[in-house]
Amino acid sequence: MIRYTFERLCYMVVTFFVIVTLTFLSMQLLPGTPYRNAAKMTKEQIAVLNETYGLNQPVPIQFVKYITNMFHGNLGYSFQYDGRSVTQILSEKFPISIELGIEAIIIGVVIGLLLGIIAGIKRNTIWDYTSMIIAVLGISIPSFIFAALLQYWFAVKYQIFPVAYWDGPINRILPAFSLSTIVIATVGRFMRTEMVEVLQSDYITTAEAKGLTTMQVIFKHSIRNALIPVITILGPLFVNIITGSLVIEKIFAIPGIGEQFVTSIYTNDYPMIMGTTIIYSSMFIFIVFIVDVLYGVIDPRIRLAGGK
Amino acid sequence: MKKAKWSLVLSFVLALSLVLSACGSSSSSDSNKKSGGSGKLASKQEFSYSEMSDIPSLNWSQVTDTTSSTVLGMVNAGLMRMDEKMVAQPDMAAEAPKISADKKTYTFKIRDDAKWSDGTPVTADDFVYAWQTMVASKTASQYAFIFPAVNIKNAAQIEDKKNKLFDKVDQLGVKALDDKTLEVKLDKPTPYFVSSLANVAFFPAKKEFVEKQGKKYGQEANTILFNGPFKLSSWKHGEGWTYVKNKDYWDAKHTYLNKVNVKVVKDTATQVSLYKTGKTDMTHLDAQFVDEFKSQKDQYHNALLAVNFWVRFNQKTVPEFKDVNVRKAFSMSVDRDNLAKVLLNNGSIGVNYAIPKGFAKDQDGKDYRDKYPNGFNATNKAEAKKLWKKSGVKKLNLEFLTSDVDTSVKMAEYIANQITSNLPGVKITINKQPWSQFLKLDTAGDYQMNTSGWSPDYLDPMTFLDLFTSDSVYNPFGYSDKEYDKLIEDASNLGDKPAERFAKLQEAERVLIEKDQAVAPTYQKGAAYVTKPYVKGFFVPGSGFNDNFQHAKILEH
Repeated sequence: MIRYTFERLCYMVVTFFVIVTLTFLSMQLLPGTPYRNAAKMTKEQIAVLNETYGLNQPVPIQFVKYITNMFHGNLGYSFQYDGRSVTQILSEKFPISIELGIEAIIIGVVIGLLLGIIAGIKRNTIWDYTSMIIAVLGISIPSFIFAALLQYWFAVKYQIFPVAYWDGPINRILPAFSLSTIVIATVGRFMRTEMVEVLQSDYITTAEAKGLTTMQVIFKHSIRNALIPVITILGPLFVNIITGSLVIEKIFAIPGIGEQFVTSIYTNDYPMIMGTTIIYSSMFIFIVFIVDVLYGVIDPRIRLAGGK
Repeated sequence: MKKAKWSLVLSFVLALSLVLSACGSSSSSDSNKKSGGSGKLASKQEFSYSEMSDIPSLNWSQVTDTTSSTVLGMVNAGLMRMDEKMVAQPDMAAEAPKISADKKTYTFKIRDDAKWSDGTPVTADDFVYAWQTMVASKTASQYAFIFPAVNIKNAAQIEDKKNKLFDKVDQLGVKALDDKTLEVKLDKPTPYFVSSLANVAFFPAKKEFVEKQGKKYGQEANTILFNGPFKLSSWKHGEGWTYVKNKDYWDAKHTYLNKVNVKVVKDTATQVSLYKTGKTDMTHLDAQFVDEFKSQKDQYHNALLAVNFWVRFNQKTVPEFKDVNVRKAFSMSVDRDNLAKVLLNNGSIGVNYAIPKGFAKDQDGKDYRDKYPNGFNATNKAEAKKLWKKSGVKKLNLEFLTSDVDTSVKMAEYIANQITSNLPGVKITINKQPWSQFLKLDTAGDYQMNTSGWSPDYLDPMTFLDLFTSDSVYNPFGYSDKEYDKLIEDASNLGDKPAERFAKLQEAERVLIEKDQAVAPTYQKGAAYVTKPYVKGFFVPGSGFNDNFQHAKILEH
């Protein structure tokens, strides 16, 4: 088990470096200029700026410098937000996106599980169809349309919730709910499939034969068993949600990281692009790592196969 | 007798007001009543609005965008400040400067009551330090070019890497004669020098404070000093910021707002929803929302900005554009009024001139545009067809470069369509690029035709006109006319004779557009915005800042 974990850890580090290197290199191919005021500057002035930011050096040297700085916890300084360090910007914005992501996951999992369980138990009834229609809508309606609709109905028309801002708990409800649709849909459909499968297995028949009530069978035996695979998809789903929060953050004026990522690409803010990529990818890699290890714990066959 | 006259005037006013109120829709006169026709100030002087982007920087030497400039304009003050009519008024300067006989030396007295928010006085040295910092190469300011542009002595040499004065900032023509007296020397007489001083690039900075903060300067609300009408009480990055009134500002008695809340909201629809639900008191509108508010006269406002747009014809990459008939035929094919009214719908106006109106004025306060108010070579599709025939060009396939911003793309498509539907044999494909890439191609002259605009750096037609001289770095599209160059050269040496100089500039513009059609002017930019009926004194300035609430007030409502 230790060997298996160690091996996964090595993979994790290698993946991380591949991502960092590829991002750094492909960033060089990004067209455009990082200077906002380029239209008004002379060539000489631009040359002076390039020198100041070290952009006139050869790419390999820039890369080595960047990596060295990265190990010292220095991700450079943003071009857009003059002189503010990338680490600082990330540390301000990232927690907000994480919080929103967690809230969306909680809402999504609760509703998704409910829909999935109902659909699984009442298979091929109106309950099943309704739940699955809701789930399919959740996947097919883009979350920003859903967000705009929620905002219009509940904030502008009936004024139950605030239109935007990130002030108090009540401000979280609409954005978290808009973001959770994809979770509801994914979890719901997954849970339904698992429930159907579990309900058909032999041990359920045994349980029923033992004379347990339907409720006991469902809660003690079916749901618990059906849950395990669902938990494993939560990790990647979580990362997915955080990276996908861009539009929701824009519509509800939430100062998170999703929007920042896209803006930095558009404005050629090289240090910010690197910073956000690093933080996204390390989060993703870490979650995949945890899931891998958990798989190993749950199912020894995976562990043995991996540790050959 | 006197009394009778007055009553006549009064009854006339009354009658007029009746007519006017009858003209207004019933809803607007209702809300006028609601908004407290009393005109009394509300007890709570608090104002809220949303801003499109966060503040990139509050370091005056690093500012390149209008959000940062707007904030700095509210919390800091330079020697001069632009009023609503775009006239520079003394701010940190106690009075208009003394100008030497040769018009090359300006002496400013700084207000005795000018204070930084740490209690220390604003001194002449603060200006010297700030200006020298601006031109130093290690500052890497993207606005350093404005110092040579207004002809401050040695600025051009200090910024020129090949010059022996390179980076010798102590050679800059600015000197503190004593604590409160600042002397500025110019290379040549420059009539627009004083009005330029309202630009953030010329703001003062306190050396000890800036150096103590180092890299942190201007990055937080508490790492910058204030000397303007407001102070920043908080700045939550990405979320918003709050101003409070600066009681120590010399003109504080005319600052009515005690608190201004700004939140960053990047989505226009959300901004409008916030306004509708009463969370904000003002919001900018883009084309899609204008119609919704246009009829609400007590809320809807329009501002005409000093920003002009035009289509550039690249003579270097398209040989056919060397023929002036082709350029004119293209320009005269485009119906600009429709472009401004239908596509932009925000108070922008279709124009045939390069210098915006309501922007530069002569000694007597007369608008520069008064001589040629309608510009040159107005839209005339039949004439365009004739010129096209005359040019003898049968077939022309072109690429039209535009940024991928929605309105820009639509505009390019519109213009292309106007041209291709009028001139047989012309085919135009649209090439859209992300903003930063557009900027790069634009600067390098790597396009066949594109749309481009210019916002003034100082209040003089020269800020637009010197873009088009043969040796201008902003002219990579191959326009060159000796007559034009000569007129600009003459005008730049006529700084001591403003009237003659203006005439030269007007003539230069005529050559540029009427004779040469170097570019096809399209529109002068407008801004549409709404304020709640109880907000008075807020305005959107023609250039420099996004918003100005220095003298805004909230009436009882």
